[in-house]
Amino acid sequence: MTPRILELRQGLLRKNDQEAAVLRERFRAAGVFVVNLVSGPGAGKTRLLEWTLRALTQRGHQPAALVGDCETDRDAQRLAASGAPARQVVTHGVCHLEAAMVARHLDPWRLDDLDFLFIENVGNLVCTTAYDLGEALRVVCLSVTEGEDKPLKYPALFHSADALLVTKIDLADPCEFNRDEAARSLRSVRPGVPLLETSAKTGEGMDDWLALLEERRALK
Amino acid sequence: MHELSLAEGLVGLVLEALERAGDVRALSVQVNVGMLSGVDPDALALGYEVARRGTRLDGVPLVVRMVGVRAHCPRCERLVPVADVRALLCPCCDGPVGQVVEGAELQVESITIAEPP
Repeated sequence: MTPRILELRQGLLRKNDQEAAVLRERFRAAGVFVVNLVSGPGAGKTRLLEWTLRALTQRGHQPAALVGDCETDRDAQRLAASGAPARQVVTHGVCHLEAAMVARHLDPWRLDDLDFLFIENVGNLVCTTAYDLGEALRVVCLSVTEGEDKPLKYPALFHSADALLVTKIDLADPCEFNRDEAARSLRSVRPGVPLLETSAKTGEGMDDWLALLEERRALK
Repeated sequence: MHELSLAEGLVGLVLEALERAGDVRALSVQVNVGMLSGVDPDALALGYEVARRGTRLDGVPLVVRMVGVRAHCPRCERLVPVADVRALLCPCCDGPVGQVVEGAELQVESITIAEPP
């Protein structure tokens, strides 16, 4: 009996990658710009999206949001108060969103009617990294309460970012947050992408965030 | 990381390949785990032992190869090895690297099989 090597060279996340590719094409055909918003739990994604959905709607856009959490639809309710369509993906303990989950939850919507879709991922700095959701822009958030060196501790996720947001910047002083050190950490794991400091509470940096979204959408 | 879930995916993928291969016996499964993938090889091996039970892979060992990070340096204009996954710096010019070409993957490389005589 001579052993033989059967070469596969297949990614373990091949199924998700394939489903994400299908989604990406669907989004492109419908002309909807999709953002995957990732961070650790409590970094301020929902608050950021509440502001963003309102602002985009006021500027004449048609945004929508999908939000993933282990339990409850509290975040979808908060986002829906903006007037934009918002749906909850309840994962019941799954620590990240996957392309198939996104696809299932899009069904009631006509994507052609939307120009922006925000996918608020489950708060998780580890498992969300490897799952492509078909997005055009992956935005990774770091809040000032998490410490300047967080990106060094979770390099894979920060390295996958197309844009970086430092959130809750209004709390920088009470947290004694070193903005330069944070920028250095972020730049060392992910150079060459936009880095914005924002506060969804005071509005600081939010116009730049909107400008980035509109500019990136126009480029696609 | 959810290595059990990944191991279930791994077992599924390998079983499908074995189905296609027909009347063969799996001797071992070779997996590449990139240093930047976030996957813990021990946790993956443990998950695999659970996921393979009752399948054609029961008793078939998993061989994990850790893959180092290689990336393109835009200043040196070539592929360079990256030692520290936190900093992702070029070892030659000390500047940040660009595109990572190797070391972020999670891949079934091959299955060693035995065919009937």
